[in-house]
Amino acid sequence: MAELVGKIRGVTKLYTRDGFDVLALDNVDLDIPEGDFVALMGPSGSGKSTLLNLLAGIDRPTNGDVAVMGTTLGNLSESQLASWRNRHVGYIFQSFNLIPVLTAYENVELPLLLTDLKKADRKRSVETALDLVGLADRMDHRPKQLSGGQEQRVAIARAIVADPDIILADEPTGNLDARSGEEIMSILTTLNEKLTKTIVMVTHDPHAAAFAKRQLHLEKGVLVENVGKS
Amino acid sequence: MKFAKLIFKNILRNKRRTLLTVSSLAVSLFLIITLATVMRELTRGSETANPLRLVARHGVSLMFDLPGSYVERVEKVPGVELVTPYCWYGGIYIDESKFFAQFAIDEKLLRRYQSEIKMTDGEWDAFVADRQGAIVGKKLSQMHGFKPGQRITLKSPIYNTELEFIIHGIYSGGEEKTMFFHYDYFNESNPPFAKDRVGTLGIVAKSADDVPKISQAVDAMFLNTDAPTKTETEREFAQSFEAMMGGVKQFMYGIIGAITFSLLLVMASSMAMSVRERTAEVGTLKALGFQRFTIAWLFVGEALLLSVVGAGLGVGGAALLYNLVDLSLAIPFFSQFVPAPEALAIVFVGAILVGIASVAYSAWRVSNMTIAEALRRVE
Repeated sequence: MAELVGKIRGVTKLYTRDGFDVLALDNVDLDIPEGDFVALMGPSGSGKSTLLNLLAGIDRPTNGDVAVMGTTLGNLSESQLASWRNRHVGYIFQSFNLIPVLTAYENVELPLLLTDLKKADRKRSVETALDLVGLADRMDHRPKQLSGGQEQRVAIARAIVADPDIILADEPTGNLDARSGEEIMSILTTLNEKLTKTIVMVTHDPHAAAFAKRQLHLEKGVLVENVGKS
Repeated sequence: MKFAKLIFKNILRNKRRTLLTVSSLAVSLFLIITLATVMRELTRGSETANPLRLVARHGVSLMFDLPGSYVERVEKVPGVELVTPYCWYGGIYIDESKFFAQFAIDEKLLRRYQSEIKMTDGEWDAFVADRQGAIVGKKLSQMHGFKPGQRITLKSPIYNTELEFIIHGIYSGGEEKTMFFHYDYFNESNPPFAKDRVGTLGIVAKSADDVPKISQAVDAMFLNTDAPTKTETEREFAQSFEAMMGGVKQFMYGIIGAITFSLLLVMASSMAMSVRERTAEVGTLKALGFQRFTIAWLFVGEALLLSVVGAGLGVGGAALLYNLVDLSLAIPFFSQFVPAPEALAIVFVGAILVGIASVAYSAWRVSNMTIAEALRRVE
């Protein structure tokens, strides 16, 4: 049996918004084995992004434990969590979230600036990551000089450049046309199948979810369905 | 250094805003340096005063003069090296717009009395030998085109006399916008009310220890006469002039404070806008693993770079301009117009501190936001 990359036990997340308590996740248990590709689906407000943020250490559960690669995130301070994220998590945003003043190369290099890698090693890693997403010839382009699909590919390169243990993608095709979305899913599939990267993806799109090995459905903060690829 | 490129590119993100911020910083600092230099010039007399020199004036007011016989009597006071009459002439050269200071002195003692004045031996000899002789400072000669051998006429509304002088020397050092001439020539031409009178006495002490003793002895000597004296060091004498400016100094400090405060507001507003626009990017950086201190320092780094560039332009520009162009030639009463190195350093460091202060709150606030909160912000 594959080693667990993510392990969620009895996780509840309660938000207080405008004086009202909102239950985003209700006693969720989830195992994510190494090499898994999970699509988290469900209607808006079902808790998909909350679950993704808990796995990324961006948010903390109200109750329960989230462990990634054996590290219980609740035991880490904010500062330790930031370093941990840099080493173990690659995060892909729906809106790409590239820094507009930086070139594709510089955007991808960002996570490596926090490591001890020397400039030449950083260069090698960035070029490899951009090559992997098919943008080796767009290194010097700024985000606004790229199409939406290309921007998201740069964001994927940024997410994988530090060789993370888990890639978390929040609606990676949500802002893209069908063709670009297909390209992005194809890249994620390659990362999962050829490089055995563990991926957890939040999506509304059944077509995108079909690329995953498993589809998990959330309803009002509860995992209601776990569908494996046939 | 790894983040230098990010800081630099972020500064150039909004070039117009950066240009306006740097410009306002540079102009404000230039203005502060200018005001500081004006203040320096207003107090230069007391700062450059010779500690061995004293000035004796009428005890009631500088408006009253003293008997010329006081010169010989003061010479006999223990510890006195020399005494010279020092009389303000107030002559008008061509018209009042060409005003400059002129003093009648003992021509034979001037060289010893104001040792900072430098001329050739030939010029000194020619000056002393000619009863109508005068010497002018280098700046004064530049302002009015005075040359050795030139005859000039000054008309004094105080003494109602018109005297002709022959320039025998152009000196450097000391107060270079002044003219000196023979006391005897001045005295002979004076109307009866000013005959054998002196405006002030210039005294040089033999040693620093003698200075307070001379001051006391001279004033005691003339205490119960028609013309009591007030003898003070050259520094105190200059300070009494500076005190006549009243609250000007405080007023100027107030202006400098107001400029500094408005500068802080301008920079804080600019930096706050810059930080707010990038709140979502802060969320991204944090999601990538950036620590909040690193993020805060990125913003502080931007403010620092802006401050250094603005300060470089403003402070450097002022230093360069005022060293290249001598504004004292156009401003009466100012013997120089050169910013003090310590003022340049203080303003430069102050600008950097203002830069840090301007971004401190915004940087602290945004770097302490949660990632989710920062990512939700779309400006």
